Amino acid sequence: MTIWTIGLLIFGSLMLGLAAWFLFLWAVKSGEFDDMEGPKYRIFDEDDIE
Amino acid sequence: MNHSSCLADTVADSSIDLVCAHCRLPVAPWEKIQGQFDGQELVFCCQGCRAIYEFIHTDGLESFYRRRNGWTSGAPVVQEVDLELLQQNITFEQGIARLELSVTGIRCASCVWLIEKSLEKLEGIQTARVNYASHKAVISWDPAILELKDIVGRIQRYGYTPRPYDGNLQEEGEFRSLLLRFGTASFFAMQLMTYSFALYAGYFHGMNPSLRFAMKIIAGLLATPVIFYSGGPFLKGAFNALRSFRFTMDSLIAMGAFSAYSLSLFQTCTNGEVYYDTAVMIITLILLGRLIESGAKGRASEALKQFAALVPDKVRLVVEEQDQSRTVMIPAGSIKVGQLFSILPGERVAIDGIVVEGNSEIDESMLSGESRPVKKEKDDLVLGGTMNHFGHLLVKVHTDHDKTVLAQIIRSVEDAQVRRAPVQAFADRLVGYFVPGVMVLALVAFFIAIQTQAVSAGVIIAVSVLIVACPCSLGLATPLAILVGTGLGAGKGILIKGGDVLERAHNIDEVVLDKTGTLTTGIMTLVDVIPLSPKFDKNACIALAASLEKQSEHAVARAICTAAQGINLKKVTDVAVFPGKGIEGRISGDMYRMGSLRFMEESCLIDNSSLPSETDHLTRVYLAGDAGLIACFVIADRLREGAREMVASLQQLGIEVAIVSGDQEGAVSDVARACGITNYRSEFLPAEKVKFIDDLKIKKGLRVAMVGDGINDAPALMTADVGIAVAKGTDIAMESADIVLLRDDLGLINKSLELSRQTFKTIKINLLWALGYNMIVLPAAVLGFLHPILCAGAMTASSLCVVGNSLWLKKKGGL
Repeated sequence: MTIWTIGLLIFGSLMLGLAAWFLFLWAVKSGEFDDMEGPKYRIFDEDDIE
Repeated sequence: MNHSSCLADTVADSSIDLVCAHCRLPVAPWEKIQGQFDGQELVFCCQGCRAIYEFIHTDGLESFYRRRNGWTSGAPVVQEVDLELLQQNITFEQGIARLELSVTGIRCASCVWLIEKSLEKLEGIQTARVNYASHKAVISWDPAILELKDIVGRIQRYGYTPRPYDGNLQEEGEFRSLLLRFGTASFFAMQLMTYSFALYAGYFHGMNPSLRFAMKIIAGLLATPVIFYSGGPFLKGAFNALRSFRFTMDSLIAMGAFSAYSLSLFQTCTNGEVYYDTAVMIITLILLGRLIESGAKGRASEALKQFAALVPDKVRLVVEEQDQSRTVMIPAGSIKVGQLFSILPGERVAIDGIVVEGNSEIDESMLSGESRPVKKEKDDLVLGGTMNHFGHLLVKVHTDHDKTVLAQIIRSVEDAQVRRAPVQAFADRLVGYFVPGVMVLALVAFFIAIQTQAVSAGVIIAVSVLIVACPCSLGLATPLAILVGTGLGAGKGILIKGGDVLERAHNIDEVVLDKTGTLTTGIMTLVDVIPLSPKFDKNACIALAASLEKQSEHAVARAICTAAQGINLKKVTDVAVFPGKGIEGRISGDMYRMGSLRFMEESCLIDNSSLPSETDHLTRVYLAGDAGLIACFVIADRLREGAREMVASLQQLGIEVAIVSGDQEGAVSDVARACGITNYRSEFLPAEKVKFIDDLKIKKGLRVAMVGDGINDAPALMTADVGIAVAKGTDIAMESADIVLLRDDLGLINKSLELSRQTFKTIKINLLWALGYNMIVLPAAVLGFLHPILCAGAMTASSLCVVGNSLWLKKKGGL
């Protein structure tokens, strides 16, 4: 295993981590975590059945 | 959910007991309004309910009635909406209008569903989302197709009131920024751990030096945003505190994290060991603690606003014109002292005034806590916000709009909210001594080191003392215990708002109780029937009385009807109601009267000598036939179950118990005697309750808990060290209180005090663990013997101890 292989793996893991971080930033900014109470009740909506 | 009331059930019920199909209020048979829907005959209490039912029906949203389980009944309150103000808040983006607004009247998830679905059915609506927690609606639509007033009208049609969004934008922003900072810190901490672990391994097994250097650089890069972005507020707070020579929690965090970070930067260049993971973990764990805390806090002034909105904003001004008087609707704020206004039956009083003409009974329970409606005649005072029952009153305005009793209560609650100083947390006090101590120790280590070593080595030793002294589990010690404590409470039906409450509740000296609604049920119940005629037994008396009272809406009537459940009622004809006095009607040919003693005297049916003596303070109503009195019914506000036991067990713990009530002397002394309380005060106004508690707190130096349920208790609940609102209390009491009991069980008062004692003890032990572990490692750091593995080990061990001890509370707190 050369130093380049390790470097590539490190780079890959950093990129994956950053991608997850950006996803998180986007989710917070678009209000995904604003309502922590409501969604659990929405499962009772039966629109698809009606 | 067997009691889920389908429409069909409501119809079936109606043959026995008429209930409005929309609002579920009971309907008197001669007042019912019928409507045909899908071939079914439905009963409504008023045209308004029928109209709303029709709206919902024609929109195809009847499933609303199936999903509103556990609804309490109540007439919808419709208020005016300021369209212009809403119009200003609209934002346009690519031809799409977007509006954020608050919707009042949302009680449950069904409300959210109804508003969203009904809006989505409008043509031109793009999205409509309602936030269940904050009652905020975000609506976007095509302004070419749809106008704002249609949307507002739609929401109003269902009885909800849209208001311009005034929710706490700042609070919302704070939560988001906290979440962003914590999320960022934890993502980078996870990445960083990979490299730190590799470096740990390298420390023991050896590592390629260039790879080791590269890893240190990457670790440094990953730590930087955590220190400066996630930890920014701590650095700022510490800097501000330092300028005024104070040491706060922020100082400790900033000192530990920043010194670890800068030492690591230095070591990266000089090929030493790095402690980036320590710096990052301190900040991440503390942010986690803050996030847990922020979830537990409640919004305070929201209910206050809603309550103020209950008072009608329009008033019927009486204008004299050419010997004729007519009424004009004017804004309540513009009416002047001395002007006359009229109140119709079923209306709320808009402003305080003196009755000039007419008589009625007024429900003042929201202000005085008194459960009986109060009779109002000429020269009596009526109060804004109270509910007029059945008479028409002409009232002369007595105070300015902003000086009414209600306005004063609201103001005093607001004052108390502001006045309450932020509680200095126990941890903060500890930190105040800890930080300077650690700094001195670091200096001592530095001077010892430079006696034998180089100055640079001395600096490293001093900094490592600072790092090792900063206990990152300190940030978790308090929030974790509180999280477990509040979670335990919630499971038992005790809602605790915030951790500072637990701190204040753990050593209460005196508990002050409200009477009506707290010690007693607040609902009139039939406690005794005394037959006065040998011809009738108790059951026959109740059957007759209930048949008559079925026709009345009075609180006393409701008490008798409740007692008569399961008894077959008789048919009544020729009913006549005499407001404030009683009722008469014909049952199987005979005339019967039911009402107050005065009503009996007026009907000349009375023989005073035969009456049982009245030595107590209970309400009595009489039933009479043509031949004379038949029975006496004793109606009272009953003591709640467990009230006596609750008081006794508090007294056993050495806690003083007192009653303060707005009710009359006699009624209060009866309850006090029944509960074994010697210290009681009666006929207290809300402001006097506050003063009573203030006196206990300031003059006697006691820590006081107030237990109450009414709006009149709200200022006292805020003033006391701990305010406890009992189940089924008013919204305003629940918002003002620190602890809300969710179940109708007075024993929860003792349990909540016990729980806070246990939780507070756990917090103390947690802090000891958090600090203790680092104390053990400190000597190693002072001697310049700091392994990074020792650092990480101490950190993990103390965090685990804190978590374990907090969870242990679950077992101990079994109560």
